[in-house]
Amino acid sequence: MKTLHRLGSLRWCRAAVLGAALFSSGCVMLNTPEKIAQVQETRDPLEPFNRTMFELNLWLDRLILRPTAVIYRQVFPQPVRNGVNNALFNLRHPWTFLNDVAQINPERAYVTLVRFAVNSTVGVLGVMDVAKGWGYPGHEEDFGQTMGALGMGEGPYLVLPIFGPSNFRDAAGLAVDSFVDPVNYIARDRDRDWIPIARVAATGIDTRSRNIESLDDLEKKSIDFYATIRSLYRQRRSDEIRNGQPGDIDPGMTRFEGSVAPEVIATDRQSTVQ
Amino acid sequence: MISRRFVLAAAAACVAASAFPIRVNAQAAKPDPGQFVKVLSDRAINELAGKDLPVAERNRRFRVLLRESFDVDSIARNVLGRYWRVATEAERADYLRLFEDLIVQIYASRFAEYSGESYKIAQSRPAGTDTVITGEIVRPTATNVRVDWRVTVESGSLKIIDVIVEGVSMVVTQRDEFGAVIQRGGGKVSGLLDTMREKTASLKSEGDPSNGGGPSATALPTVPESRTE
Repeated sequence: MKTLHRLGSLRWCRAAVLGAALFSSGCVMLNTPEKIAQVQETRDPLEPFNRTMFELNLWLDRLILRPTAVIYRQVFPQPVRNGVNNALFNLRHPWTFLNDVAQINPERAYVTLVRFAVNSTVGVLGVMDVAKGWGYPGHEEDFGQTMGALGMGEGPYLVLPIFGPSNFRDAAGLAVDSFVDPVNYIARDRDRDWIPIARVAATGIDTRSRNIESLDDLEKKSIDFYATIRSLYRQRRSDEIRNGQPGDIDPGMTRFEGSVAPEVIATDRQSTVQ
Repeated sequence: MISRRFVLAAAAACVAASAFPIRVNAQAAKPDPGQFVKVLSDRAINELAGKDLPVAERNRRFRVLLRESFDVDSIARNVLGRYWRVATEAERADYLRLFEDLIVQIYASRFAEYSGESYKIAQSRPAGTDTVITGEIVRPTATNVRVDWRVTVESGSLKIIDVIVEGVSMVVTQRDEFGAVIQRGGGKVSGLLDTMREKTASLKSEGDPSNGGGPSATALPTVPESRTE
């Protein structure tokens, strides 16, 4: 027993050392003021690691996801694909409802509840979005958004293998989503473990098939695709957490008049006030 | 889920692009930002949409609209952010010229796939000394796209200084991207200028049929089924 225990902790130790080495090699070395400013700006201290993951994901996308999405779009006509999209969306409603409640948003929770009831029945298992036409447009919430809405910060940016852009908060949220989502929970409870996996795969193909041209265009026109996606992810998530309501006015937005640099204007204003 | 968020964000930006041009109805006695945005968006859709329009002509019209209705210099400087201060006079001049060229190459082609869209204003709200017009591009066959315009008054006439699509600001996105390029180039603005020059040239040659490339109208993005709100 003792030996076993020691062996166990030894293995753990080795893993920890290896992990630490891997982690630190993926970190930006904060050894110059410029590097520190950079990390403060991008909130991406793991950038070297993230860029590697990003390249890996791009490679997987070109090899598997994009071709699959192209074939999917060629084989199935638009109405079928819309039905699939609606049905997958409908399955996310119970979890969205719980998140609406957790965010103390009774109006949105009510809309989600009505939609799920109507679309699951009248809409034939969610294939048709009948409720939308009745004045109940849909929305989506996940646990990352709930944590954000309750005031938790996003943490460092993180590119997950396969799942793509995220951050520490949303990555934790994603894990909770997958386990606590009522549909997944019931499926696992009845030993249908393939259902959660099938949902993720189907959602991936469905979403990718709707964005073939837009992503191609974005990649072609970017001068740093990684940085563009990082910026888009962060802004979109922030917008989702605010439920589309206006946020703070961008503090970096300055009006320039003549050739006066912004800091000069700021100094002028201060001296006028004093 | 991976690509759901990933792709939504990406697609939002693309769509953003499509909403860029607009036109000033400047010298009106008391300029109304809402009216200004409405007139500009209508004109942009009328003049730039359609696959039959030659690439060079669409680019030319886009540039006219851009200069008339946007405070391009102010946008360019906001995009460069803190690096504007460290750039030399020559680099600044170079940058301003390259910025306009790149914007034209990036955004003009995204109008090719437009047909039948219109912009509907929801509300107007103050943002400091500026005004933000919020509304949606109404699309006949797809989900509407939320687009906000930040309008400022520049020597008596109205100018757009940012376009925000589904919560994604064009200025912030470009600033983050340019900042990353400068940082990776060792903090030098000249590195960014080289990259901008190369990108503009490659996009231009691709869009010019005489160079063997097809029309660059890679299409207006299928707007994401962006349910996440």
